[in-house]
Amino acid sequence: MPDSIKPFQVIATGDGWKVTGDIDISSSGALSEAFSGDRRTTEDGRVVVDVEEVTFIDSSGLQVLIDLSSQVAPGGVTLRSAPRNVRRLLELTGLSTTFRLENPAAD
Amino acid sequence: MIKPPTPRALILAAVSGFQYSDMTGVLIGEEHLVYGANDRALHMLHLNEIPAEGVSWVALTPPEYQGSDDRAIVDAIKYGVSGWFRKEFLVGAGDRIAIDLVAIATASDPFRWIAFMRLAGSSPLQVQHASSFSSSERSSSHDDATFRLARRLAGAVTLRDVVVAVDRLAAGSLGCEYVNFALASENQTLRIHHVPSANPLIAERWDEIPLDRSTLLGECLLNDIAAVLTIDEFEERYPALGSDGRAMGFSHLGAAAMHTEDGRVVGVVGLGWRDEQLNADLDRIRGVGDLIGNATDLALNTDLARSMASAFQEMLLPTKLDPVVGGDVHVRYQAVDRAVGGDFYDVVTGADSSSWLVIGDVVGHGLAASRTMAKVRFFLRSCVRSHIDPSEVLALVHELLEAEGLQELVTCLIARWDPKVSELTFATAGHLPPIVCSDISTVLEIPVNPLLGLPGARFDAGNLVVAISRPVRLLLYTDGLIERRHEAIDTSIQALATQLEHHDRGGSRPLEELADALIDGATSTVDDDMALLVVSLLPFGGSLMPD
Repeated sequence: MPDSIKPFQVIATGDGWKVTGDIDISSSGALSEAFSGDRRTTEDGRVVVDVEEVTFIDSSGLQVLIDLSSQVAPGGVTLRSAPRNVRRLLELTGLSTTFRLENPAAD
Repeated sequence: MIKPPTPRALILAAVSGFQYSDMTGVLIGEEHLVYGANDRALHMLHLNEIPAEGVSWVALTPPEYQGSDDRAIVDAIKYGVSGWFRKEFLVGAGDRIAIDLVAIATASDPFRWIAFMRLAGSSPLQVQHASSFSSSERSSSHDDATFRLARRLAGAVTLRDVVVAVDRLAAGSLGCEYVNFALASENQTLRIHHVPSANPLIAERWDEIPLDRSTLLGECLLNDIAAVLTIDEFEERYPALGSDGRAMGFSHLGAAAMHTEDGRVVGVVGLGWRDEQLNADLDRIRGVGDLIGNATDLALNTDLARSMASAFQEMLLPTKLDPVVGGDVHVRYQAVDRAVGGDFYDVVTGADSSSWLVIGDVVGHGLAASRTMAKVRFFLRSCVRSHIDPSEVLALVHELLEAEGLQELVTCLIARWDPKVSELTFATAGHLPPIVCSDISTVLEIPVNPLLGLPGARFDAGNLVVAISRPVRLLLYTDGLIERRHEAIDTSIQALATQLEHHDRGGSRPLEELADALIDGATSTVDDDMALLVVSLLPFGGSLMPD
């Protein structure tokens, strides 16, 4: 495979997950499944999804993030290091307040 | 020369085949999705529950197998099929579980592959039940399970894919010279699907046969068995079939009932060998039959669900739009590959003769999305009879959707045109911003409400009111028109605004032409439905206005 294709991947971390690559119709199912497994949280009970290396999110990807947030307490999902395009997508879809943003990527 | 199977042996084989299938699943993916596929495979094998640090297939794959999937996918893309290969997963203390896999490029898209896998040999784990996309989806009690399955697989497998896959499998796995498969049709006949390499004369002569016990195919299907006969036995048992088999040089002919994963018989696969030394393995033949049965089932479900869903959507989109006072409107909708999307639009006249221009998109595809779309349009049409505030209408529609317990999320943009005061009032629920053009294009910034259907959402963002003092074109659209991976969203929107400005030619272009130009010029790199609604509006006094 060429190096330029960053494959979709989701890895469990100490306080949630780190997601890499495109979250779209072909990967959102796998993401949803990862989210439905055992979940780690921060000490104050938040789930952190590190999206720094997420390169694209479509509506099916948004749906999976929203599903996750509906499973935890309101405001309980934090998106870490969200790239500009992810933040803009949240703004346009009125979801800025659904997720807490932490350490947004400076780009 | 093999010993012809006795009827008792056939029955026993059929019974054991029916009760125990080593099929573990079928996987469909794209070129670069090898990693997710491995995780999915582990899930099918129920290995994802093994307690391990950040369970991942990499940790469970011995080093010597790490590159095998990549090689298989490369082969599948290069040659169409990878050939069967074996890989192992580590389970527990030194135990390994082996699975056999074959990857096949689909006919419709060379970068999309199907992998069939099954447990190889004896396994240290007890696999509780075979599991795959289809069975896990089907076992769901949700009444839309079939359609969710189809939504996931839409575009993935067609009967043509199955035919091509069968052709490739025949030589590789069974050493056959000839293979076909037959599906029962409604009028008590068997419709035979010949592979591309089949002798055209034979294919033409045997395209349909009666569904009874006068043929090997019919007998295996009706008795739910697999069998291999020498050509002598074959001619003695089925005299009505003549000597075509012998004329083609076959030494043995065989057939096996094809099962779906939940054990239904969907058809029968027919096989021919020219090898006198054939050592036919009924288990293997049965395995291939089930594999084809599984794939056929997926393909048929997908085809059926697709045609149903697209018919459904055609019924749901408006065939006639209300006229717009002081304006003109044109809509375009373009679906991808007949798979049904959730894009919708509407133009409705309010109680005060204002015009409500609506566009939206239900997240997801398929019948469930179509149903939600229909509800949203119905609720909107009802609400505008008694309300004049677009953001209030969005809030109401959200409440109604919640009350119905619908799961889908919906983006929606409303533009209410009041010709009496020449004002546009906009409200949005997470939809892409509208663009207005009067010589130059402007992307409007509207206060954003969340998506309709979002649990606990509040709709208090309000409206944006724009006074129209000169003729304008207004463009409402869905993301299929702009979606470009790895580009800033605003850049994509701005590019569309520039297109509008360019094609509008100062407002002189007929709307229909303008809409066509925008669709044709769409630079989307994502296969998604596109809907657009383009409106030309003249301010009060700018046209013949009724009062």
